[in-house]
Amino acid sequence: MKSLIIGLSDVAQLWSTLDTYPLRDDAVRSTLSAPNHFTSEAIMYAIDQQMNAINEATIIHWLNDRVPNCKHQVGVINAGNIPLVGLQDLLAVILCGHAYIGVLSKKSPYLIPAFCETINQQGFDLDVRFVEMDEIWKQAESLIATGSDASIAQIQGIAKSHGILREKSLFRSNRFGIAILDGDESEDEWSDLALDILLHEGMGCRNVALIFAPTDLEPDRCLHHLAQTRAVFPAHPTTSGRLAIQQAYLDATNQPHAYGEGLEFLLSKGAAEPQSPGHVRWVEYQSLDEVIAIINGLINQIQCILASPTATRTLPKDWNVEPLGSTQTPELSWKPDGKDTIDFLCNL
Amino acid sequence: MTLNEIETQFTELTTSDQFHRFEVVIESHQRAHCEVYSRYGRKYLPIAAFKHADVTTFPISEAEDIFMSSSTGGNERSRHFIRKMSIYQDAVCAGFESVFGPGPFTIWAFLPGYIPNSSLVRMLKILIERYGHDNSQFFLSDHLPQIESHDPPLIFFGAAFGLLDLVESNIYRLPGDARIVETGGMKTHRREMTRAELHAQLARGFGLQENRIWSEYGMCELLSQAYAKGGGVYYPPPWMRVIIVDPLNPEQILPEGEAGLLAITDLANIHTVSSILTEDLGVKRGHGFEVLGRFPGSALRGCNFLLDSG
Repeated sequence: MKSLIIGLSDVAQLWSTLDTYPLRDDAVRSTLSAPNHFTSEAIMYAIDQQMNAINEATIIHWLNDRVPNCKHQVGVINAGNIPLVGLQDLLAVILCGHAYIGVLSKKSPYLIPAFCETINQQGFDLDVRFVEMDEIWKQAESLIATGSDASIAQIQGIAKSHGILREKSLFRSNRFGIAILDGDESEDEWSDLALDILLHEGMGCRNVALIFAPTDLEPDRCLHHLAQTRAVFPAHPTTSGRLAIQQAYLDATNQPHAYGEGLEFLLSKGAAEPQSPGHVRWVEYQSLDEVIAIINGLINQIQCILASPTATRTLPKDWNVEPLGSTQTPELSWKPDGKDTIDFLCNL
Repeated sequence: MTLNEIETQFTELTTSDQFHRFEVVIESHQRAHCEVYSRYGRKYLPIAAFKHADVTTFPISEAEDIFMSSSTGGNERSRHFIRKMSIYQDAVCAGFESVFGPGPFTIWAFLPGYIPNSSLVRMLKILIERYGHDNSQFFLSDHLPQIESHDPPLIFFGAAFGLLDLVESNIYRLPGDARIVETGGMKTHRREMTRAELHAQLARGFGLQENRIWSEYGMCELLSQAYAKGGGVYYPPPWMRVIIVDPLNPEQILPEGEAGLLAITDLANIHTVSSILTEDLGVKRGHGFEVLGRFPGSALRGCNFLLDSG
């Protein structure tokens, strides 16, 4: 185990983007031509952030001496809205000593296999297989999958019919992040918030979809930083066309909204209803009690709650509030949907 | 072709040419007289418009009725202003009769929690009045009405969650020729059940073959309904067209078998907007379609293997 931890740490170093690394670079090039909404800037950012999160200390902290009772064939259905999205599951499965049977995302089918190949090039022989969806039902004894409510119901039905028990399945469905502002945010925090909204075209499950703001706070600074961030992380070519339809709808129904030049982002004011990716909703509040009530109603859809340190002090203590700017830089040990993947894999 | 002619003839159309001719006239009228639709400028108006605006081609003071949607989680309700109830009656009855026949039937309706001006309640009142035998009725308790052997065949309409509640607390034995018609309504109550599981459970609970569990697909914003005669494939009436579009780009039509949003043109919506982009995920199956569940725009955030597999 110790050698695998060191090996993973070394591979993360190789894959960090400071130097060129042929396997990674080829995978990035191929990923850009896959049917997705990734930009080269966003892919490199995702790789950097994820590699920075992997080192001996973070892996040991994450595992925390937990080990499974026996080896399992773990099926993982990857459905990637962001580059390298299934990496945490892959690492969790191999670090727990299970066999990994993965269905690759059509949007990102190159990065994960290339990462595994790099590990094997270090002298390891990972028990990792990539299969088609039909095959996973024949081979897997347990399952990790993410989807919408509708698709989770479908996959649960299929898993059940193939004898994969509910307690041996980890289904995730939470879909977006929220930010709670108090109006005292610094320029850096506004800039961080812009990243939380725009990276990966807003499609990640941690991207901010709702911004709660006091009624006397106008979104001008937010719009300013959204525009500035677009200079660093340009929009994918399809984004403006997608947002044009939503902008036309907001216009037709007289809903207040603003958008960036070339429709590279869209912000609307209104009720706390999350919109499509790239379209962030600005929700005004008069008291935090209102915000708490709304969030409690949406809690099964919220992946993360963000706020500045000063705003965090006013929020319920039992909420796991993260700093602005952290949506795409989660720790290795973060728990999607609040569920601990290592715990799940150790209790199969 | 005038609007008046369309109002009286739309249920009789049979060919796609006729559909197209009716559609052109209706859409042109709606572009000219429905401010929201005119400003939107695209084909399929997002269904949420019925919450956010008055989607009409006429002054709302002239509406004969207003259908309201159910409200979930404190959200606003949709409002569908009905210019002429006769158009709705014609759509409901022609659609029903083409699927079930001329009747008479014993029609039961079990719709706990539905408001009186929901379109479903309105629809069942019309059906009971037009096709229902004396024993037809709305009921709310878990004691099913009596049915006599000489009564006409039973058609039992019910919201999915209500029917499930019934069979979870009791076992019933309906006559073998009875049909259950579940009208959906799973979105807030049972998030982890597929339609196939629902139908199997209803069949067991009511003592029927699974092919006696039928389904209806309708909503406040559409005046026509599609039916599934057992199984999960719905068939729209000839004056209603359903296509599947890419949720990320609703102007892109998806081929058969790929999951996407249902985009529907219902020619019975003559006086509001006929072409609606729903928030339902579905798949085209031949001339019919399957409904996979609710899929608001926010469902595009985060990973989703169903869309990824396309």
